[in-house]
Amino acid sequence: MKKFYALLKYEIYKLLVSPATYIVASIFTLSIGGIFIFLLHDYIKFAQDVPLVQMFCRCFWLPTCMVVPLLSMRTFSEEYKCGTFQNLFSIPVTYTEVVLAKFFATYGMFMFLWLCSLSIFLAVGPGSESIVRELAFSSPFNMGGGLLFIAITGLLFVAIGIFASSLTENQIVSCMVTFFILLTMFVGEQFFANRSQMTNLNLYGTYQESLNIFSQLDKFCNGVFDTRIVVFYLSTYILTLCISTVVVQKKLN
Amino acid sequence: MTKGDAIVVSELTKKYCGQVALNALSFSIERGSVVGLIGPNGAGKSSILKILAGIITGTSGDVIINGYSVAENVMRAKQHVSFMPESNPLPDHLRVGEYLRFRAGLKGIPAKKIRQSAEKVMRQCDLYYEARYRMIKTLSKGYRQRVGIADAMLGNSEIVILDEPTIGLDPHQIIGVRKIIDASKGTRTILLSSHILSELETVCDNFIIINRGRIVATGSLDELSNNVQGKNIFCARIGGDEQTVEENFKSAGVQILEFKRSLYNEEYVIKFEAAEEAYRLLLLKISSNRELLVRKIGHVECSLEEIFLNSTSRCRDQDNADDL
Repeated sequence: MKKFYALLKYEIYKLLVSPATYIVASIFTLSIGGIFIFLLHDYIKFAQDVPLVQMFCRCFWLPTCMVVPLLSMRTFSEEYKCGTFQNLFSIPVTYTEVVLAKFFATYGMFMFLWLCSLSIFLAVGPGSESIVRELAFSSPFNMGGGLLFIAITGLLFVAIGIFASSLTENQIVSCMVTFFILLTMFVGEQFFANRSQMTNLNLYGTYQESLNIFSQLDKFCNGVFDTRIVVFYLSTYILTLCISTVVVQKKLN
Repeated sequence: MTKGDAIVVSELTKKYCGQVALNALSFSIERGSVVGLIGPNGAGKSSILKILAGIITGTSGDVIINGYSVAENVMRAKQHVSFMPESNPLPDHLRVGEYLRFRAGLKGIPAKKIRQSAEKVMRQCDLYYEARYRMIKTLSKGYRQRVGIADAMLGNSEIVILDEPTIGLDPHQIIGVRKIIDASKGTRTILLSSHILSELETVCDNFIIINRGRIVATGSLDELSNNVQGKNIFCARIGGDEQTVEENFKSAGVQILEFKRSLYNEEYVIKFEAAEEAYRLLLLKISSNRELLVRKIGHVECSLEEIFLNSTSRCRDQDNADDL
């Protein structure tokens, strides 16, 4: 564990001293801010059934698709390219420790950015109009549920990024692979769901609702803690990291 | 394996996609010795070093590091080894001191001693005053190499493996590296590979020459020299009359292989083959003859370069013959 913490510390330090991290953080903040303002305007003009906070959480796919590939693309690809990978494994550390350290550093940064995004609600301070304050602070539990869902799904999304990075020494390729996989998970599933509704083909059967990320998010926002969803994401996250570990091992040999 | 062996390699084979890189290598390295690994490009030097460092695994065979099998207990084996890879890749975004402290932490040095250990190796490698706070990306090639060597020397690893440690260094820096290696002689087992054979000749006690994944020669410089030149080949530099010199040699019963006149010193350089008795008789004869001035006599000294070229070309000829 001592070596894992040393590795984790190193990975976090690497993220903090890299200018790329601050560019990613800026992109994230801008997209979050844009989404919030857009939704706020929409809510002030038209009454909505879903609380603003829940709608805000529903848009999590956009910043996630942008930030996860950019944060994770450097983890292994850069090490492969610079050759520092050999240095890392010349000391008594296991492949699992290295993969986990890189994963938790990236995941930590991802979650830190999300927690920071909450500060956007603080912008709606006492000086704001009462309707705006009401919209922003009306449903804190929805926000809690939404963040919990982002934290659980984030495990898998970041693991996918780590896996893509372990495949290649080209950071752009790694970024594109992660982006494509995440986009397929968010949009592809929605696309097939719509197609099946239009053509009356039941492609998913009873699993349709369970697999839809947005309906899962709604459940969490409404206070329903579905353990099946948690088990699904945790198991796929562990599987992805296991595959990444094997890939790293094969790459080195 | 004897108690004095730090590294024992037995029947080690490594294949990359079916291509044999190392072919059933077996050798052992004595504790506290400095051993040079030599071979042409693509001979498999880096593969051996990476397997010994536990970075990659062999296809078959085993490596024992201080009694621990790399195949069975790689973590234990790695604890005894420090490795500096070829071209010495380093993370550019860290400062020298930070990097060494990070590596010290990973090598299991207790937290209280990390700073002290890092400073000790920085002083050893002349990094403390000039490069301690510098970013690695701003360092010259020489300084980068020193950081790599400092990293390898960090901690209490009994075995240090250096892959091309002096590549790209100027003569002053090479002498610096040599001093570091000399200072570790006896306390650490050092295995290094290099293409600068004269450099290896100076620092190493023993040599392992490999070619096409096989060991072609192993031993000390004298042993290798004897293998290449033959044990009974001698060389003499003698001043005097040509006829007298030749007569003395012939009467002692030695076989002259080469007889040439050196123009500058007015002496004769004679390469000859002689049995032990004949050599003693020759020594008696020429030392008692007042007309002859013996400037030098002894075994033929063979440079590592000659040994290397001879061993690798012999191996290539053998391979070509096998192919035919």
